[in-house]
Amino acid sequence: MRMRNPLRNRGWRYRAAGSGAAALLAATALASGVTGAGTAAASATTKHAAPKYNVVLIPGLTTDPFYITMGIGAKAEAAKLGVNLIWKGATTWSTTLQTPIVNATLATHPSALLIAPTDSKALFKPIDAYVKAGIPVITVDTTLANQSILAGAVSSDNFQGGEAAAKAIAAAAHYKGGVAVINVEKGVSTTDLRQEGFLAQMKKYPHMKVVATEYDNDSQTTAESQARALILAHSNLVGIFGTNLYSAQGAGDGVAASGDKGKIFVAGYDAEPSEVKLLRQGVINILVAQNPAQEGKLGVQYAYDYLTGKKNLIPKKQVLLPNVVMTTQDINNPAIAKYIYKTSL
Amino acid sequence: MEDQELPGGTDAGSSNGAAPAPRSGASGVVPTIAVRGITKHFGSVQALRGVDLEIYPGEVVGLVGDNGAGKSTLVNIISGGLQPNAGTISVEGKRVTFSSSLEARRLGIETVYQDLALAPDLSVWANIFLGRERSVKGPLRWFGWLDRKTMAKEAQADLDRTRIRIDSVNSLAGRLSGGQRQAIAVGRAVAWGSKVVLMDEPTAALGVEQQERVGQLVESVAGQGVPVLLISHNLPQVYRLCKRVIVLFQGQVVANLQRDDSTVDDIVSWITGAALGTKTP
Amino acid sequence: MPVKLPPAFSPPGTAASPRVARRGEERPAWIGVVDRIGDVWIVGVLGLMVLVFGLLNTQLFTKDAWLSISNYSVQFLLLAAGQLFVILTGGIDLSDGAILGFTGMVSGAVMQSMLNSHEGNVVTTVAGFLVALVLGALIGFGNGFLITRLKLPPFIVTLGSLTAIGAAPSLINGGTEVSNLPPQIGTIGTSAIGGWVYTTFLVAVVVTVGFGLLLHRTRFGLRTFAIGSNGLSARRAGINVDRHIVLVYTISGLLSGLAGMMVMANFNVANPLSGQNDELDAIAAVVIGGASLFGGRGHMLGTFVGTMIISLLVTGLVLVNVNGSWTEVATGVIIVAAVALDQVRLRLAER
Repeated sequence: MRMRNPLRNRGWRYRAAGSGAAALLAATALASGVTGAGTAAASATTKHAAPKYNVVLIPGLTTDPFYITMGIGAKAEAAKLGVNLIWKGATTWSTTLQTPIVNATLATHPSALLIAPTDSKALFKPIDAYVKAGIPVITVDTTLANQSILAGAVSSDNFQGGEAAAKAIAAAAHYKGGVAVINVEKGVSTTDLRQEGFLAQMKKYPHMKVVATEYDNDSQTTAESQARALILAHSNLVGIFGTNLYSAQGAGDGVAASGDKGKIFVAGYDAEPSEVKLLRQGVINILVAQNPAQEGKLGVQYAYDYLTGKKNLIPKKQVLLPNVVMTTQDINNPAIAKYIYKTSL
Repeated sequence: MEDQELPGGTDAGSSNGAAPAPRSGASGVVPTIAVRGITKHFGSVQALRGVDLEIYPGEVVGLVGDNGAGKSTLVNIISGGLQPNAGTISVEGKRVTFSSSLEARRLGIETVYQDLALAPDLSVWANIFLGRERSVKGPLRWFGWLDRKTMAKEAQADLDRTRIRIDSVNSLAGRLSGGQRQAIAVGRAVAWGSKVVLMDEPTAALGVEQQERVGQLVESVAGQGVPVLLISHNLPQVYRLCKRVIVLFQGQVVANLQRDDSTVDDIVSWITGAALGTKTP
Repeated sequence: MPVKLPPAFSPPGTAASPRVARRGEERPAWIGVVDRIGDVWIVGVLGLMVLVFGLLNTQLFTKDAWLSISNYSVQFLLLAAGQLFVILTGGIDLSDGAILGFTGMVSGAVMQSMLNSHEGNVVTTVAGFLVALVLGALIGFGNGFLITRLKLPPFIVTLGSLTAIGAAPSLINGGTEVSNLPPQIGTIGTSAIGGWVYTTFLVAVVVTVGFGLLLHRTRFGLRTFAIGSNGLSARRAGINVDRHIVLVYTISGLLSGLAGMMVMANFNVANPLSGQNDELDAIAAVVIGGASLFGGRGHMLGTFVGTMIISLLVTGLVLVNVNGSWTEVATGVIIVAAVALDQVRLRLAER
């Protein structure tokens, strides 16, 4: 039982407000195709002394591993392209803290702005000021409700992430049994998409059934209790999908406390260090990791393309990156482990 | 009773015998309370201008005056709630100063406030003992463990002494009738008021029958030798209960009347200032 | 007609005059019965809920269900116990959930750095507890100090603490969870005495009983009631009201710090979002338990039952397969019903 206190909405856990799942195929194609094209263009231009560009990256908050990992990806790409990347932002997810930073940065006349807006409407005006000053803006992770002024937008495909979680649980449970979702709260676009993807994918398995959908209001304690009650209520339960960090950790703890570790499979979202620790212990069995480094990388690339007159290389629609599935079994595989979020730039 | 130590500022005997004895008061008897030359001003407003007043053991004294005459200010000063700009207070001949109402209470000066100052959510006994709770003996005393039984018993005894009937001292004060609550406030004052009880408009909120009850309470208090200073607008009641009536007018004592020598009309003429034209206090 | 706000919205000592019973010497006997039922009716509500949920799904009567419910209740028992003291004085503590999260993070960070410099596990655990308890008490003391010295409304002061301290955990350890903790912490969180009673739950119950005795059996408790019931008369009775209020907020902070440690023990990790929104659940538990937001009235047993009702709802509604959003609807209904029934009861009693 949790009540939502409107005074204390730490919304940053609900980042990555992807605009929709429609562009799934296109996005997957673009992600690979465009990446190739961009890199090619980049290696061509770095050879002659290119003009020095200053690209600013303002994340939702600077202390979160997701954004730190994005910053790492962006920095690496910037170094490759000979672009100067400036990373600045607030330490907490706050529109009132982010807005003055956005406004003040305009005075430094950067070449381009990459930003994860903390509010899809409130940040429109400050961002529009850049566009009016002739500075291209690309959103990463979150975006604006009105994307028409943007030079580009990159995010994660949450619907695909939900599908991936469903596929992984189904495979682990040999495609039969009941599953449940522990979501954060209704009306959050990112986690709702994850849930929709999960439910849609589960429909494809004739011997699997979604038995319940709970909301924990981002409380690990509530998620834990709900998981334990779900196990009691549904004897056929084989899996729980926690749609964000705390839902997943709570679900994992609940399954472990009930003594069902390894019998009921827990899928979580993101790859923060604490979740990965639980993944290694088998408390969480599956993690759907986003690819923030790639988001950062693409953001820098598009900015560079724009500045070097190759606007046609930037997709018109928001690019939605597919997610990476990690399991207890393959987390030590370097090809998978590289997607674990980092804690320092 | 515990906590009988005097607060700082006590020095003995300064006003002993200096008070002019009132005609009915026993000559040579030390007044329980003697007030000398009290003045008090709030900014430029002069509330009290050199008030003298004595109360003797066993007396019921009325303090009357029009609104703004300074009654409440005077009562607040005697009960420690306000500090005078000048003047002295003596208790049984010892000069005292109070910096709070708690210090006045420690010297045995109890006040029944107009609002009764009861906590409606506390039981009768808790109201009577609030601030002076009894602890059990033994190690639990360290935690301030309440000796509820003793307090309930003593509270019952205190109320019995003042002939107040309450079904149970464990009832919540807020659940009692106005008259009963009044009785508890008076009973509490009497229980602790070893020297004097001040009553500020004790019957203002009461019906006729309950006013009668309070009157009996006042008399029973005085019968135990504890004087009562009764502040009231209810002149017939004052006249009935008080042998002596002090009239305040514009911050000064203008009359010190013996009931046997005066009528209610006399009191009224002093209160309104009409008598000032013919007599000099 | 002006709306009367609870004293938590006004500076201490300026609260409106106390409630006064209507006059009338005699009350019918049946009202006395209602009165007595009043103190225990909430126990009946809990019993009824257990019965209904249990009949719909007998899994409620299993050890696993009990462990889940009791485990969930730990942090709310501790927060609500402190909150009860505050509410009894006519105040409110909106910051207790934030203190829980903050003290947990600071304690976690301290323990992590102690482990990194090779301190012993036991020493580190003890130090972690001390840090959380002292820090919690200090923040509570700060709340009380501001409320009494600056004469600010408790609602405003603790709202400020909630906002400031609620944001602070994201400044510790880069805003990420601290999971490098001594193994003793995890043991406290997962060990169950006889398989039935979690150590954390035992701690919460012992603390609740202890503070219940402090509240209902000692001078300190009596004065807590007196201050909320009629602050002016408490002052006139010689009670140092300001000092008392500071102590009450300090208790609330101390228990929030302890709750922070218990949550950390449960998950074996210090989580920067712990305690978020917990203050509302704690207040709800106290109110469901029969306390008045105007102060002066409440009971630790009622608060305990109120907490168990809130904890039971989470598990019970999942067990009977009610959709998650209904949990909040149900809680809202129970809060309003609890207060409404209490009002009816009081009106009857005051007749």
